[in-house]
Amino acid sequence: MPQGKIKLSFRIVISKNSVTKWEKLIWESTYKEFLMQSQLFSDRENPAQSFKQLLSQNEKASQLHFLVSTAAHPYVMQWKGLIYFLADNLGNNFLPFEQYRFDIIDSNIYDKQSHEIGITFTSPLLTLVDIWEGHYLVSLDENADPVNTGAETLMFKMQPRLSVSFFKP
Amino acid sequence: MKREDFLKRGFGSLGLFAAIPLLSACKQTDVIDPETTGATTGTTGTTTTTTPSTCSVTNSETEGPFPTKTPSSLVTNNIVSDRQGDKLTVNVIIRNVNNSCEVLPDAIVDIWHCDAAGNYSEYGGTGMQSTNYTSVHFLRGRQTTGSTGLASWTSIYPGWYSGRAPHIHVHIYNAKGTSLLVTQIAFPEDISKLVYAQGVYKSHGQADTTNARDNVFGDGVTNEMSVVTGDVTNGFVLTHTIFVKA
Repeated sequence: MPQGKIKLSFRIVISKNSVTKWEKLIWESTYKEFLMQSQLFSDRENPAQSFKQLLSQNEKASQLHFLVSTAAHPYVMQWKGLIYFLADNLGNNFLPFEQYRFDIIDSNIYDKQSHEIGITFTSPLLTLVDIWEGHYLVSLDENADPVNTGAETLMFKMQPRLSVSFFKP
Repeated sequence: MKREDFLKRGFGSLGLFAAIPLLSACKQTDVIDPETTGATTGTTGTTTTTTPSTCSVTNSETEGPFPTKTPSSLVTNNIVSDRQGDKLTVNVIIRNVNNSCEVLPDAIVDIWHCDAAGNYSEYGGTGMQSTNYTSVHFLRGRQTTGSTGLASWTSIYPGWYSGRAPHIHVHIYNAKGTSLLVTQIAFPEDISKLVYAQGVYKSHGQADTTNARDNVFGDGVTNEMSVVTGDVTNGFVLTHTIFVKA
C-alpha cells in the first residue's frame, strides 16, 4: 500500500491548437513578450529565428523561460491557486498548486504558429492514501492519518502530464 | 532582415491568428463531458448516448474562472514586491539622438536590478523556484514614456553582488517593441556607501567593486552615471537621461 506524502505536478502545453480563452490569451501575450525579450540575447543584425537556434548561439537565452513567464503570470494568478485543467473524479474539485514553472518549448520570431510553451503546476504536500483503479487517492491535508482516523479524499485519474514529483514515506 | 521588419511581421500576425482556433475547436468538442451532455439533452439528442467513462478531462468545468486580458506582470510602476530596502524612485528620461535629442514619448522601458542581498528575481537551473510564486518577478518593471520622455518607478535601492558595481539594467524599445538600446545605470559611490552601512543592507557589507574597476562602467562611467538625491530616512530619487536612436 503506497502510503506517504507526495506532491503532484501537472503540465499544460499551450500552442496554436489550444482552444480555451485562457490559453489563447497566454499564447498571444507570451509570443509578444518573446519577440521583445529575445532581442536581449540575439544578434542585432542577424537574429536567430527559433528559440532553439537562439539557445545554441547564446546559452544565456535560457533566461527567456523566466523573462517570458512575466506575460503568463497574470493569467496564472487569475486561477487563484487551483489547477482548473485538473479536476478530480467528481469534475468540480481541482488540485491546488503552490508553485508553477513556465518554459518555452519553442518559438520563432518569423513564425508565430511555432510558438509553444509549457506551464508545470506543482501541488502542496498531499497525503497519498492509496492508488485505486488508476487513481491517486489523496487527502489535501498533509498531516492526515487516514488509516486510524479517516480523511476526506479526492481521486485524481492517472493521465499524461500528471506526475508524482515528490515522495516522502 | 532587420529587426524592425521581423517585429512588424510578428505583431502583424496577431490579427491573422484569430481564425486558427475556430478550425481546431472541433477537436475539443469531440470530448463529451457527462454533465454537459446531460444539460444539452433534447437539443442534441445524439450526444446523450455517448459513454462518459472514457472521458477523463471535462470541458465545462475546466475552463476555469473567466479570464481577463491582463498586461505582463512587468507592467507596474511599483516593482518592490516583497523586497525590503530603502525606497528609491527611479526617473528615466529617454531622448532621441535622431531628433535633435528631443524627448522620446511612447518608448517602452524595462528596468531590472538586484535586491538588498544582491539577488535577482530569476529561478535558475531546472529546479523548482523556492520563493512564493506570487512574488517571483520582484524588482522588474516596464513603463512607457509620456510626453516628457519620462518613465518612473518606485523601487528600493539596489544591493550589490560580487564582481559588479551597483547598477540598474535598462532595455529601451520603441512603441512597436523593437529594441533600441540595452544599457545600465551607475550609482554615485558616496551614496551607495551610506546605504550599505545600514538597514537591511548592513549585513551584506560594502560593495566589492568600484565603478572604476567595474567591467561595464570601467571604460568611463560619465554617460551611465545617475544623479541620486535623498537620504536613508526619506528615501532616494534617481534621475537619469538615456539617449537612443529612434
